[in-house]
Amino acid sequence: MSIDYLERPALVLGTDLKTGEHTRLLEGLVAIVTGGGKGVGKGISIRLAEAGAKVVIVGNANMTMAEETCLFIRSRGGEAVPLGCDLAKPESAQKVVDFTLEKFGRLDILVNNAAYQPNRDIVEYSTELFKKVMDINLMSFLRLSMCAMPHLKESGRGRIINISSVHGKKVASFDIAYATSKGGVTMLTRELAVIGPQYGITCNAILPGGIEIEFKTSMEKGDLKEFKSIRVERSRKFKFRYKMGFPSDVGNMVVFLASEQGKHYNGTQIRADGGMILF
Amino acid sequence: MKKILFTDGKHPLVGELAKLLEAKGYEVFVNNSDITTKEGVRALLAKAGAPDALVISGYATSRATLDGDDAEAIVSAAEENILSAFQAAKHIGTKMLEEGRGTIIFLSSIFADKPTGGNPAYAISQGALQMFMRELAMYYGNMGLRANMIKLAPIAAEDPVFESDVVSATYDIETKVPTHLRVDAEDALGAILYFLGDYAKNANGTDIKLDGGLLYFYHDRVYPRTKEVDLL
Repeated sequence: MSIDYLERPALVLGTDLKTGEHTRLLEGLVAIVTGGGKGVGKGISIRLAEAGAKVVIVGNANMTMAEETCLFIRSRGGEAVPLGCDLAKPESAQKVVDFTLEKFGRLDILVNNAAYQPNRDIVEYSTELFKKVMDINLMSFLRLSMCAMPHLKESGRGRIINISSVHGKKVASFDIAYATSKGGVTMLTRELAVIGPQYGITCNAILPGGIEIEFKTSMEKGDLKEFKSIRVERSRKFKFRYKMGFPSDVGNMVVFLASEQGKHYNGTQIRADGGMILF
Repeated sequence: MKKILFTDGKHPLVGELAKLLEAKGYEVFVNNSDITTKEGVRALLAKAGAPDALVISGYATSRATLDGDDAEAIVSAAEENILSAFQAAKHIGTKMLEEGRGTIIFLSSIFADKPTGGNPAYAISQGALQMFMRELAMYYGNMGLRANMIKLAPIAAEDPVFESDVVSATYDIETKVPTHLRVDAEDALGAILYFLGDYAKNANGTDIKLDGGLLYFYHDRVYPRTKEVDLL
């Protein structure tokens, strides 16, 4: 299955209604996207680059997907560089920020998107695995935000965007650690949102649900097919024309929140799930 | 006699709660050891046995802020609360299931929803545990073990723990709290007794907020306190 990352019109240009001037929304700005080489993160990286930002795409130690996404962005005239690291390690956060400053000299936008989802019930989680989920999904967001903060302050218009999940609000039922970590991201977002404004920094969360992604998930193929067919069946029953979303749906909202047009949004949680959790 | 186990004696209300519960005839065990590891919680279980009510009361806090330079202090405190709850719910919870009895109660805070500014470690951990509780309510709830949460406004002794110059995490009971009362151990006692009792048979995945109405206060309105009103 391949995903069209160019699906949906993009948020690229803004217009100054007083002068009539059109400029790319994020021209000259620099962004970090963790987990930015695949799935939702890839959708975010591409949309940020289309809007004019230079993007550092953080992948895991195997940088293949981060590199491929960078090549794709460059083929369309954008700027992006890959970085591989293990975000579960405390020292990785500073490494990511230092790399960004070395490559581009500034930092304006931090998108915390990396996620790990082993899909286990509580009795199936070892301490080590539970902690790993917390380290990647929550503590890396916290560490990166704190390492980035001095530079976001310097930017004067810093943005932190946390990619959470509808399972930070609604029970996931297939991964207790993942939902727990996303509950923590909700409060991290609010805590950053109250600390940030004195420095010109906003922090918001996007909660995706039901997004088409192409890489192998930890669900076995059969389970995934059944999972999707249950959703389709439910949507038919409730006369809701449910369709999966695209990574670009999340990417467009990231561009909006990162832009001047989004500057009055702070501490919010925006669902990108087609209304799914209401059913 | 029903047994109640508090997972963390550091919580400022636990001492008084234990006395109030004992006065009502409950057997109370308060843990003060590290249960962030499997070994730690198993040692606790061996000592205390499976309770009727597991009250998860983790209270690791840190005054490190998100605009400071001590991320690890925040991580460490948040992690202690989250991991100790995980170990307790997993090991003690499954033992309670084996014995066919019990309920899990999270002794939490309004800071599971409202940011503190001054103690992000605690708030982040409580936000995480709110979702953890809901997941437990679904998984264990299907096996007869309910999970719920009590969210308390800070007591007076907690003001220095949560005070901040960026957000009003502490409060003036005269202007911001309609009941004009601070929360105390008896408030928490009532909620615990409710969750323990038969009336709570359908309380699962819920939270009871005890803050006198504080969280709804906005716009610095000074409300009238007289009982005399001029009706139109």
